[in-house]
Amino acid sequence: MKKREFIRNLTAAASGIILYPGTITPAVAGPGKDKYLRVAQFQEETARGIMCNICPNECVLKEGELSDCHNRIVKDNKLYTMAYGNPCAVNIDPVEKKPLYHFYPSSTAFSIATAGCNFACLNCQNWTISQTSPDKTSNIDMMPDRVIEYARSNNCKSIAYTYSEPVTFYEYMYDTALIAKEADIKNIMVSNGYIKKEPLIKLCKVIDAANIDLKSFNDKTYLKLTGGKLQPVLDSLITYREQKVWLEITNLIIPGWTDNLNEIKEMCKWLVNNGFETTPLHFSRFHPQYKLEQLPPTPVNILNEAYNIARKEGLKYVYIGNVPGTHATDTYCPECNKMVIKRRGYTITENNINNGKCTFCNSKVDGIW
Amino acid sequence: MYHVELIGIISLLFYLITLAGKYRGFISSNAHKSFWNIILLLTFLLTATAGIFLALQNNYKWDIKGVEKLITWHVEFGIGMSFTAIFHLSWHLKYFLKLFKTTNKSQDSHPLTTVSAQLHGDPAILLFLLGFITIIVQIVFLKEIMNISGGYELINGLIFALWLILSSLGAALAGQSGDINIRKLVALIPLLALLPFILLILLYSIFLTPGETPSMGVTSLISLLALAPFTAVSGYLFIKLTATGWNKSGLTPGKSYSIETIGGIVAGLISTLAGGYLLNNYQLLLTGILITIPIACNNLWPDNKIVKPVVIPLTILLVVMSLAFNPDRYIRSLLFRDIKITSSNDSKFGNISTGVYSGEETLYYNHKIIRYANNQIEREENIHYALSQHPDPASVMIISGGLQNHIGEIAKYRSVKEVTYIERDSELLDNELLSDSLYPNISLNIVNDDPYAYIRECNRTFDVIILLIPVPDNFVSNRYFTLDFFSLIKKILEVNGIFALQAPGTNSYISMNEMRSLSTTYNDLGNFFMNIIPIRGEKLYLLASNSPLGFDIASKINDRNIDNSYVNSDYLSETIIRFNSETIIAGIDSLCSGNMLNHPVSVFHNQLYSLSKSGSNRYLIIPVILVLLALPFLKMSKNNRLIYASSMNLAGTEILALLLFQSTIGEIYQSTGLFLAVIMGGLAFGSSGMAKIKKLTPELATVLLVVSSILYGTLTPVLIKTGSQPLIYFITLILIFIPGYITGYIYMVLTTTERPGKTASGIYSSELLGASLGFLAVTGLLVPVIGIKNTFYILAIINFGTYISAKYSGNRRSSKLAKG
Repeated sequence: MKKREFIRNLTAAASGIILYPGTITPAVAGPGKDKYLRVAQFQEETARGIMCNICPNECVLKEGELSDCHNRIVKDNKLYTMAYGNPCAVNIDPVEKKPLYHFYPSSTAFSIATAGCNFACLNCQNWTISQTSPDKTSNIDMMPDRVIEYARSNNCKSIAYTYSEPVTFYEYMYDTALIAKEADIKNIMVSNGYIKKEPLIKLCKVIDAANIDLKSFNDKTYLKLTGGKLQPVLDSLITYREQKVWLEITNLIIPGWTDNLNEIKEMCKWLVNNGFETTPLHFSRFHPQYKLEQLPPTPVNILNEAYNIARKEGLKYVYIGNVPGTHATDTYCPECNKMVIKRRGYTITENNINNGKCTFCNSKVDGIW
Repeated sequence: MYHVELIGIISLLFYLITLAGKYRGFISSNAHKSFWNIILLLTFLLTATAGIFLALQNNYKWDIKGVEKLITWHVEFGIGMSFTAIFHLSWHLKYFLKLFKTTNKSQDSHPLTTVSAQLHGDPAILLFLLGFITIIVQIVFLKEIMNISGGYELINGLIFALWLILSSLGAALAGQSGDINIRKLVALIPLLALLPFILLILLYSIFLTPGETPSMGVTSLISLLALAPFTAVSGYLFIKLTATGWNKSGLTPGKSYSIETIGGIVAGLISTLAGGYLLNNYQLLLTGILITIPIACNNLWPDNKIVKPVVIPLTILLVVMSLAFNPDRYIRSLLFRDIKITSSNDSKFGNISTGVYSGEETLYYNHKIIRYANNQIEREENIHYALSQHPDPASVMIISGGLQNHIGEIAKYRSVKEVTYIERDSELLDNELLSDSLYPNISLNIVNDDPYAYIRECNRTFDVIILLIPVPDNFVSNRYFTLDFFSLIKKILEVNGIFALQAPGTNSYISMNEMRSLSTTYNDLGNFFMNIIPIRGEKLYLLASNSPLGFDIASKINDRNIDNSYVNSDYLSETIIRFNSETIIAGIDSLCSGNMLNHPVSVFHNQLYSLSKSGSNRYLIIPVILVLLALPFLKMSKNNRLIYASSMNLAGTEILALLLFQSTIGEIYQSTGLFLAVIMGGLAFGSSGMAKIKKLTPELATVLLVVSSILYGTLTPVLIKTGSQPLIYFITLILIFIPGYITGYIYMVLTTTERPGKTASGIYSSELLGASLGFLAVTGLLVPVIGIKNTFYILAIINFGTYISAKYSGNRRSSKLAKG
């Protein structure tokens, strides 16, 4: 053990917190690097190179080339993921921060992320990890079994694959989720939903809940803002629903980009018409980030208008995020319309749900409570 | 996505410009072809180099940082090369056609031309106006580009360098062009002066999406394209007017240079005195340009009957309109696009704009958001993390960040009796709508002063000091994250007081550059405080004290019965805060420390962090540019080398003085004009020949530069330590005058030849190239690596080397000239 690691572990022990004995992955090529390489799933050999079939980007890579998501590489005519057991961000978060309001409220999620993302959002708040490769970040050595170990010892109800884009560390997420499921730890995926159907169906077998970012309802905006397309995300939402994964949707409202109320109305209509009326929808407030630093935060009145539109269109559970003190964090019974959960921040101050039912009218309140 | 159309249009546009210049006789056919040959060579080299790296990476799996971006450059330059190749093909089409017919040698005629021009009017007046307009444009452009790009000082060096390279190109073209009538071109200069700003706004909207802050690469490209037409024409005209002055009035090139420089001095002084106090940026630009029009017209067409009755009243009308209706508000609306700008004013320190979007107001300072509506999270975090740590805070100091925002939060602590708020910008204080009656139990002490200077002189103590100046990504904010400042804070903080600041690293992962900056601040605070804890909220805060600090912030808030929207147990958990803090501390690099005024390491960590947003480490491009700029030095004649080195020293000294000024006094937004004026004063004095010293050869003058650089380097720590503003002003201005004088003097001596136009063109181009190198080397490489003081010594070494090489080269002509 190096002196640096020893001090780090000592600090952890002294503080009474279980910390991970982190090893920094060298950014340059070396024998240690291969430890985090795994043969990628869903790859296909084509005449032009190896195609990655995880996400709709469908990167076709030649020997030595890196995928658009920055963490898949072709070596010896095989596609490898470079993001296996080497998360760069590890935190404990309230599950409401994901945000998931209908999934074991007030519990904590052991949250991990490796570098990489298949989008390039101009407003990404995690751009330091999403727009880079695992060999360029400071990583922690944490193989799947250790993730479970740490989640359990920190009393986390769930493990969240979050911050960057978990689709890009599919293999690591899948293997971890598989072990976690056996250990009765729930698995949460916080994602942009940019994944192809086949890998998603496989993943849904081990994932318990997902929060999907529906970033816009305009294909042109999607492309300009994220580099991705709208339709594959809509398709993913349907797959999640069909596979019975608990789903919540986030729509970040960015001034000048995604705050067109007509588009928000169209989006809500689509959600209702496609069976998502009981899927919680979170309108989230934008804060200046990454390349969009000169845009103002979303005006609260726009968020309120979006909230009203969504309710009017028939969505049962609508919330506003990133605005402390707003009324729009409480849950109302879809039948009697009485408040069944009153929230202040990440805390529930009033709970009128019993066995998943409203205590006022005994109707089902959707969620995993 | 690659920029096929854009590169194509730009290439074609520039080609048409040079082609038109050739046909109008502004430039020679040779110059036109040389220009496009250079472009072809550069695009070829860059495309090929990028291709080789890509091939190596592919063949040998080299893990080259940022290699994936090379393909972009490879393609983009390839596109440029393709278009340039088409132009070339058009020149040589006959040749290729002949290959298929019969071989028939033909010879192009490339007659050498002499530099001269036809012009009515007094060249001296026109040179003065040229200098005046050029400097007004330069100052306003610098301020604007600093606003748009995030205010990094590196941009300053970049713009100066671009400016000089482009002017040098114009000057070189003039040196090779024929005898032409330049009257119309001179008359067009005031209008051309608007072009950089029109292009800036236009290119800004082409290259950037709404709300986007440009990367260094995009800033460079926009600046290059926006400045190219004006700077090239101004460089071209300077040489033409110099030649005309010599032919017509017997003005030596040195005197012409001196007169142009005096125009620059006047512009510098006017912009210093009027800009930021009386006039906003675009008001200054418009007024400055407009007043030159009648003078130029009257001089160019003295007998024309339209000038006096039409041009003069029209100009007056336009000046009055520019002063009466603030054009800045409308122009800034174009830059902010979707946001309605309701006010825009330039203070001594920067631009303050208010934007309204969907009824909510946002306050921008140099295009950065400093206040917005419904900001509960930020204002609670700013105050409560620090104040909750103190058992009984009575006196609180807030450094910048807004009082109106925070006073409500501070007032939640009943023990607080007194709040001192320091803000250096009086215009920002005007935005604080505070009434004493709102908080009768708190004594408010609002100080309009430089916080650093105020704290240095402060002789009382505080229970809690909260620094709300953003992370150190420029020299001004860096002052507050230095060992020097922390020692001052320690002095005015109660023994068990709390000091809080915002640190880099806001997200769930702290990048390497952020971690280096955070580690530096953390370790430097450790020199003065026993306990330091990071608290990660929406931003990352560092709390420092000699008393124990706790992670139980929510409990502390609850114990005091404080009703918060965000900083409370509903949002915060001690376990999570502790976990995250311990994680951050575990990642602290003990080797990072020693951020000082003289060696602002944190600035460069943060600038690298910002640069990394563009996806690659484009900082690496700086050494490449430096090499390209330095290469001509090897091929230059002795005389050109002397002026090259001296102007490099001058540019380096200028930028060092600005950085030192920024680090000690804390502003350059307003003083840029003054600095330029003083440097130009030195140049004008030196080049005028008034202070010609018989035995002072250019070689000996170079030795003087060596001495002045050593002197300045030695004085740097003294200036930092003294903190006396008048002394810093005085010494700084004196010391930048000296290299200005010497460079002007060398220019004057070297251009006093029998062929002034031709020689002046070469000397002038060398001077501009040297200055470009100075600006870039100092800001991009030397200061980050070795600090301000040592950079002065490096400049001294370079000049000493040039002296030695000149002394022992065979050419003694310049010495003879000086003596003669």
